[in-house]
Amino acid sequence: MLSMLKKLLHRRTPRRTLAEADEAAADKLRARGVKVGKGCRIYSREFSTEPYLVELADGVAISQGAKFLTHDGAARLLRHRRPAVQHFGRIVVGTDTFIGENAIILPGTRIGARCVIGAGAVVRGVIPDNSLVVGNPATVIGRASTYLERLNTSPRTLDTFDMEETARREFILAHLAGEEKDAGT
Amino acid sequence: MPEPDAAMPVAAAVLAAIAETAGRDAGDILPEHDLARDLGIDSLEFVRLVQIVEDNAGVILSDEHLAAVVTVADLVALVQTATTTT
Repeated sequence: MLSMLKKLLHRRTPRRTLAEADEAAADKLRARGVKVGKGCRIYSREFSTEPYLVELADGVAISQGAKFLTHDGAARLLRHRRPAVQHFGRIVVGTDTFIGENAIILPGTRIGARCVIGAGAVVRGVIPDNSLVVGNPATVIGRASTYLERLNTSPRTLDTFDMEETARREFILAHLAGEEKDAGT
Repeated sequence: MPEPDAAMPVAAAVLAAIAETAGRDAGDILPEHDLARDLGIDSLEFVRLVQIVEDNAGVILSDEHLAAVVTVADLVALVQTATTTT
């Protein structure tokens, strides 16, 4: 009975497109005070206790677990001298920048446009446009555009995004198996 | 950006950068070696390698041309062309 009810409810709930889901996620963040541009894809909810200090330009993509720290908690160690002290910094992310999984963006950071921030990077300071940034502490290791052009021609870069999930799974597995066979691994 | 190192020929400078990136001895690296398959230079290391090569040679290489680089010889040729045309 319960499963029938669930099926009925599921059937009557129209599925959102990915773009609609992205916009709904962006709206939730806007309601919390984050400045969010158009066409952003945000899978993180970690916008600190001052989300109004975070500004994301158009087309920014943020992976799961990425954290935006807008204050420095170490300031509490000054409270024996200044009982109410806190330290803050804005975070600004430029157009079409990608932030990888579990990256940490520290207070006062300004990331330029079209950057790629690697997974787990701990980023502070000013990052120029078109930078590829990795590591802890994060460093600019080259141009994001060089990385993306390389990625574009990689044999493991596939056109699978709009595939149905089962077909996508089969396609990926077959492709990698073929590649492994060719390499003799 | 540092000044180009005029004392070192382009090919030797590129080989030195590849050797440093791959953690190999420069003498063990052959022109036909595939940067990824034979030397284990992944996409992130490739970007770092390009940065080192560009800084040493004082050139900016085209991203589109870099995307087509497979072997050591490909990268050396690309840098040689860039240094003779700038």
